[in-house]
Amino acid sequence: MQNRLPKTSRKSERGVALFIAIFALLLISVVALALMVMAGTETSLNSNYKSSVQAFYDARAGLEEARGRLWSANPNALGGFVVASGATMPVGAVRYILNPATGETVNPTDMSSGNQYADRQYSSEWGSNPPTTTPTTLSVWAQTGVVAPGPLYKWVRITPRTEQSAGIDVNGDGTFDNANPLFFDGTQQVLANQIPPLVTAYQVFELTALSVTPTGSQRLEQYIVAPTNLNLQFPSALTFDGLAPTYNAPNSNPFDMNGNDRSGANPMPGCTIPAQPARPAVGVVSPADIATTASGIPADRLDHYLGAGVTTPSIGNISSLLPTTENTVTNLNQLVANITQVANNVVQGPAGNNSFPLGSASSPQITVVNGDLTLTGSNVGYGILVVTGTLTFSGNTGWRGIVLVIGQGNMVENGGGNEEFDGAVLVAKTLDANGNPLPSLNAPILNWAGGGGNGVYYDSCWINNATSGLTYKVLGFREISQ
Amino acid sequence: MKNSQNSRRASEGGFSLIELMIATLLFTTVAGITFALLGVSLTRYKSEKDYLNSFQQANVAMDQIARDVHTAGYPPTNSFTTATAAANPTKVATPFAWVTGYPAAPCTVGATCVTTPSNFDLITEADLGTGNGVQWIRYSLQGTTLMRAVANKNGNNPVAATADKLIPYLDNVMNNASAAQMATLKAGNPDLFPGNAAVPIFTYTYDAGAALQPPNIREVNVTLIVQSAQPDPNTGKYRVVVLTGQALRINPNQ
Repeated sequence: MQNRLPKTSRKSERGVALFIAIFALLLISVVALALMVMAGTETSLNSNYKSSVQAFYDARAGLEEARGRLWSANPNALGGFVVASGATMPVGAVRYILNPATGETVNPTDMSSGNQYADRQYSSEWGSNPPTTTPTTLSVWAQTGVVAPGPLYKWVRITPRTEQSAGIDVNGDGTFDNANPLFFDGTQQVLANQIPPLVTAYQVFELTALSVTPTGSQRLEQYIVAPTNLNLQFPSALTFDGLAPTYNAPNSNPFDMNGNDRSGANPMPGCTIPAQPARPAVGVVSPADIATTASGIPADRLDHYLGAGVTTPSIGNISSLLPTTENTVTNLNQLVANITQVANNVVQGPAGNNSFPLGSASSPQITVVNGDLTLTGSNVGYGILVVTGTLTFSGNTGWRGIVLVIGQGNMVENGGGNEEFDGAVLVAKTLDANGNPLPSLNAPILNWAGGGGNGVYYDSCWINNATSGLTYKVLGFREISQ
Repeated sequence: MKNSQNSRRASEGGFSLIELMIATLLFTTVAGITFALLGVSLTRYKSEKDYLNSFQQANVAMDQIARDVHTAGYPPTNSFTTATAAANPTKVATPFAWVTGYPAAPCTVGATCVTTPSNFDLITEADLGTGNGVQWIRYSLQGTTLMRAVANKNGNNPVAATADKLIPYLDNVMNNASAAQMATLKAGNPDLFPGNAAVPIFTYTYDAGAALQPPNIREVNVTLIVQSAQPDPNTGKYRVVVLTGQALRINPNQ
């Protein structure tokens, strides 16, 4: 017992130094921690701000990639992945461009709670989750061989736009339609089944992008896009845009001019847009020009001009139907300037067969020739062709799309071939011989010599296809709060 | 046995009084110094926290203003048929509202525009997806408080419609402080308020060649000068955060 007492007191004293040491250490640790927390807070605040701004631009980069790749001339064009040329993306269809980081899986259709990249916004627009079978493609940044770290968006969704998905009563009828996709005619959006006659309209797409930065900032942003609308309208298969045109018609028996939609021998494959009402085969801008234009046609060939109206030749005064883009010297020259801005090829005349690619049905070209163009041999072009000088076609040449001879307003067809113009042709004289704008539209000239079966056949499919080479324009933008 | 017990006791014996007093003195001194340091640190921490709080709030406000400008003008006129847009002007968002002449005749910023848009007042228009249609979002500096209001667009005077909905959004915004406050702030931050003039919160960049009117505003440049809620206990001066940001309006002109 005597032995135990000192032992006990020894035990109780043994740890005092340790306690003091631990206490002192704690105090110092608290001070150190406080300092570290302060510094840490400041750093994370700064990076939060940076990250938030970065996320905004990352999502926009995704939107811009999708917008760029909708353009058919883009080297990485989405093309038929979204919708085949000339067709309409149906309501309910959805596509994703995925942009996973190395070794990462991005699956926007996986709605499990652990998936931070799930597309939870889709159901608020379309009323259900995106189908798990949704086709996807990789972004240009995630493709094999790309080493540069790209923007940190995770996916871009591409859908058609409807009243319901937009949450906008576009036509003011009090209901949110979800059957008809929306189209854009250059100034307004309209439902697919309510596109006014004689109006060219293109489908509107919704692009939605999600970006997530490593620090957790997220942004969901949306573009509303449609092809740039040049407000091109063609009230007749062949339009003489100017008083007192000179028209020397061929005598060939197989030759026809036809204002009935899709009357040519080369229907466009896969075209689903509704047929347009019949137009005059030849359009002029005053009543008096109807007779003078008809006088250029051999008497036994008058019935080769079919289209709107019961009498042949089908020649009509379409001056009131021309859109403003096509009715004055200033506006027509502006139209040429606008097309030049979006053209795939801008060449100086005199130009020939090999001056520019003629394109194909799936890759129509927008070409502007500043000067004369002569096409010979067996050549068929696709897209929009603008010639400011004299356009000469000869042999077995033809065009699928839009031909605009605006400037010198002089077109020469030497004929002899069997190809044809499917789409529309417009001839207007806006420039004098020196290339200066005229005070008003002068007389356009079309000399069509030789035989052969070529002629101009109105075709809304080819006209629509020609403009699919146009870049997509941003109609609207919004950030979607999450 | 006894001997060995004694010797053990001597070696295990407690501290003498002197030793204890010295130890206590030393401990008190060390603890005192530590607590004094801790006290300084706590004061400093409080001041930093206050400063960071202002910084954080200013950040959030800047971010929100940028988001509102980004979305301003959605949905634009082209989202409707021409007839619907004409018949329902309140469903269409012009990017920025103005007074006077709204909505038919745009005023000139800095001249005929009254109240908004101005250096300290901005109203954006957008459908925020909340189911309320197009709304006005107004930022207005009143004294040293930046106020924010959200009101449904009703086609009338946007300033009047938002006036009774303004709620404090960001405190201690000193962009348009009184001369005395400016002088106090300049004492610690000589670079602030060049020329002793107020610093606009909102400045505008217009489309190239376009009139200085609200529909042509392309970029909104935002400058927020925010001071901490409490003065720094060490220096007795307010600390200041200056944040600048730029927000691009992406939606097309009407």
